[in-house]
Amino acid sequence: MISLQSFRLLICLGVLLIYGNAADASNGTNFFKLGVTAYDQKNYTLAAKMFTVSAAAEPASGTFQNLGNAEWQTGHTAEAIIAWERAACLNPFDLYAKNNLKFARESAQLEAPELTWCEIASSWLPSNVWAWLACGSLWFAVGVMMLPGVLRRRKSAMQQALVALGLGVFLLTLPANYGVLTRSQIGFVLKRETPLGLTPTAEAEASTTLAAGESGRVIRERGNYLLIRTRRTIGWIERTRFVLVTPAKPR
Amino acid sequence: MRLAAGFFGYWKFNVERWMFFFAFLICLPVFAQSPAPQPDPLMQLMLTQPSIEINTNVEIKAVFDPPVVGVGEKTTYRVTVNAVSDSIKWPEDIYAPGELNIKRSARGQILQPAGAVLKPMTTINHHVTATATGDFTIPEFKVKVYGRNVTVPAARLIVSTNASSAALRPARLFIELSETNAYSGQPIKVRVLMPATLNNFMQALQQVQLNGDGILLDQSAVRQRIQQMEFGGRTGPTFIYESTLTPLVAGRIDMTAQAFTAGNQFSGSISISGNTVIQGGNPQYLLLDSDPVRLNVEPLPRAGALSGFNGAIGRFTLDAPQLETNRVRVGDAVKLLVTFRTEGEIKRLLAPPPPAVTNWQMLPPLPEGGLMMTATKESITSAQTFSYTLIPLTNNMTSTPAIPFSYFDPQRKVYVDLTIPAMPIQVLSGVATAEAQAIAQAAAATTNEKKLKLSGLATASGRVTSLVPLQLRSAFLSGQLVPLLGFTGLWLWDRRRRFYESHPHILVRKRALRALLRERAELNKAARSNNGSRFVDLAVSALRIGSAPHFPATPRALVGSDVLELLGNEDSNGRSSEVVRRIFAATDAAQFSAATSDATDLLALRPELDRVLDRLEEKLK
Repeated sequence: MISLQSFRLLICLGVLLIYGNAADASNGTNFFKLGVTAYDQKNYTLAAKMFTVSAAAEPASGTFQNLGNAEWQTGHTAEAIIAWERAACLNPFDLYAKNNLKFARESAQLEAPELTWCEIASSWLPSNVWAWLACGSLWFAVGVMMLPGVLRRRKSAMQQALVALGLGVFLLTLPANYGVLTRSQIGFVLKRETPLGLTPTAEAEASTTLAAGESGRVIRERGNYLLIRTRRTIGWIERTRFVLVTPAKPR
Repeated sequence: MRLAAGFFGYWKFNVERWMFFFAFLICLPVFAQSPAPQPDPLMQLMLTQPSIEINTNVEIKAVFDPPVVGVGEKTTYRVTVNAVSDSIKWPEDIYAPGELNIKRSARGQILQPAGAVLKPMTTINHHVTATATGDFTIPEFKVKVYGRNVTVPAARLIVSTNASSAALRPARLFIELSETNAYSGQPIKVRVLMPATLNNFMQALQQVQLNGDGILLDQSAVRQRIQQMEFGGRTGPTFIYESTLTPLVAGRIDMTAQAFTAGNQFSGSISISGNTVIQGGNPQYLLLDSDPVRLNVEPLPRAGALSGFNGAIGRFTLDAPQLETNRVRVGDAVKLLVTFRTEGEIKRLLAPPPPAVTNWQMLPPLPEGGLMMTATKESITSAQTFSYTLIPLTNNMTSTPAIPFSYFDPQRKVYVDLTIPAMPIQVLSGVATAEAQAIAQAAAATTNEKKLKLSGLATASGRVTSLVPLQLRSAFLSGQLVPLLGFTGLWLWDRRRRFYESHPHILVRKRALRALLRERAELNKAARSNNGSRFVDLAVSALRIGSAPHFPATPRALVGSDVLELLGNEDSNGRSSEVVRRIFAATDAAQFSAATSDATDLLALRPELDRVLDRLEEKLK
């Protein structure tokens, strides 16, 4: 039995959580509206700040899309591309974000990241949908396989078909889920003229320089440096100069 | 009936077989008369080419050029192998004394005609600088050529303080760029220079190439000449290879040039001016290279981009457009000529595409004539004319459509509008075919679709979710333990249930044991509280529960003799039987006798009763 004191504590915790989330959500919505207003008034720097705060409070594809637009208007190519990539990541059906990415890459003469077939498949649906599809289909198949026995029902052709369907869906979602994992290693160079070092040191000889917004894939980490592979070369880059589309830790 | 069916089946089978046979006979002459396959022209071309000799013994030469240098001066460590380049596995690092800085600079292959075959020769160059004087040797080492280990001989370099580098100056290449800071897509003039050696000997260059990422060399714009010029403090003949390169990517591009000397074997046209000595005889193919030159490339600015920009970079002017006629009937074609001019040479100019309009059908522009160059004392001007074919589709127009065009001026760093203006025209009534109108409208629609532009703002933020996918969240992964444990528990429960269904006596005994333990606990409580009647009731109940699974029977149906039967021979001294009898008798008396009986004295039987119950408990386990 839960004592009265524990019950009161749980109630307080719940109220705090709900209140905190509601406050965050209302802040995010307010900042979103402020950002839209600032953007309409062509105050793009302020709009970018508002959308950044809104995206931090409640990450959503529309917020990231608008953040990308505002960053683009202020001349921050890399930040804009990252924001649009995030918008497309959260909502693969967001055609505006994809259009803007094409537009930005065409304008800035940048190449899109090279995706494997698993990663292309993973971009057809939101990454969370792939996760739910995988676990849902697996547990559905296991449940359909077990429950008739538990409930003393005969095994039917329909039940076997459902099990096969569940397992089939599960197997089909595995590559896409793998693609989501590998896609989380893709990031973009944040600053222009970023040197790509041969070693993970401050005095490293630069093998080449990367333009802002150029994509790379993190292979390894060492101290303050990341070993990334771009379309043409491989090298070490400072951690602060490279941003992953998917942040390493949950926000 | 069966016989008839068999007959017809056999007949049908035979008919089919004969049909196939006759069809084969008919087709046979056709196959026989079909013409012989034509030989593949590409294969024939390959067969007519002289073969490349790869069977000779591999010979490797390694030299320093020049072999004597001063401290800090550059020399070339050149290794020549008579094998095709792809067959040589050259090591990334070569062992060299610590005083020598060595860096690979070029690699090239040339095919020398030798009778009916071509002899391949691959040269690999390294730039070497010495930090101290001395006599240094790069020792011999092995490389794999055609899969076999071959020894690269040792090479010796003398570094002295009094080495006269000018006297031994070898032929080298130099790169000159018209711009070192450029925009992506901007054509840049590049010159590869080879000054003559001290005795003014001049050689041709072959296979000139520029090495570097993200550059495009225009081979169609190559010009070669030998002219007198001052270079490195000395005036003499210099071989100049001139072309145009276009950086394709933004960033820092390091490029080098390399070429083979080819004696007097010039490829392509060349103009020679001034005093030049060209030696005869067989050429000596030496791979030369240059020091790297850096080109900083910036992307074109986004701000200020104008419509009609299609990559033209430079400074252009537009002559007044010329219409073929100023009166035209609907459906008739009219030609519009536009001429762009620029200072210097037009390196890369694409005609502005026709705009998407529905009242005009406009064909893609075509270059009219070639490049026209006009030279004055001060400068060279080049001009390029394009012709647009326009077909009016309606007669309510008074001018041709304006054709948007803009270019980027790299010096002013701005986009400049150079739209081809609308020209007045009188369109007379006529007939435009439905096809022409459909084509014009489709072209307009396609052009509108292709144009990418920044989309507007999203009106709503959308569904809020985390950027970190569920697959990376430990909470989601650990959450999968819930269904896993649930299904595992369900499976274990079902397994246990099925076991007890097939072994019901085990379940009865387990339940009896649990009930017996409960009764004994209550019994002990009653004994501690000296409640004799409850003690007796609980004792009887415990004895019945402990004995019931062995008969099997409901506990309440058992009497004292049943318990005694169960105890049987194990009761050696009869004490247990006595205890059981007395307890059951007390119970019977309490139930059936009118007189009240005091059961307190039976509490003294507790140790013996415990032993009996222990034995019953043992039997249940």
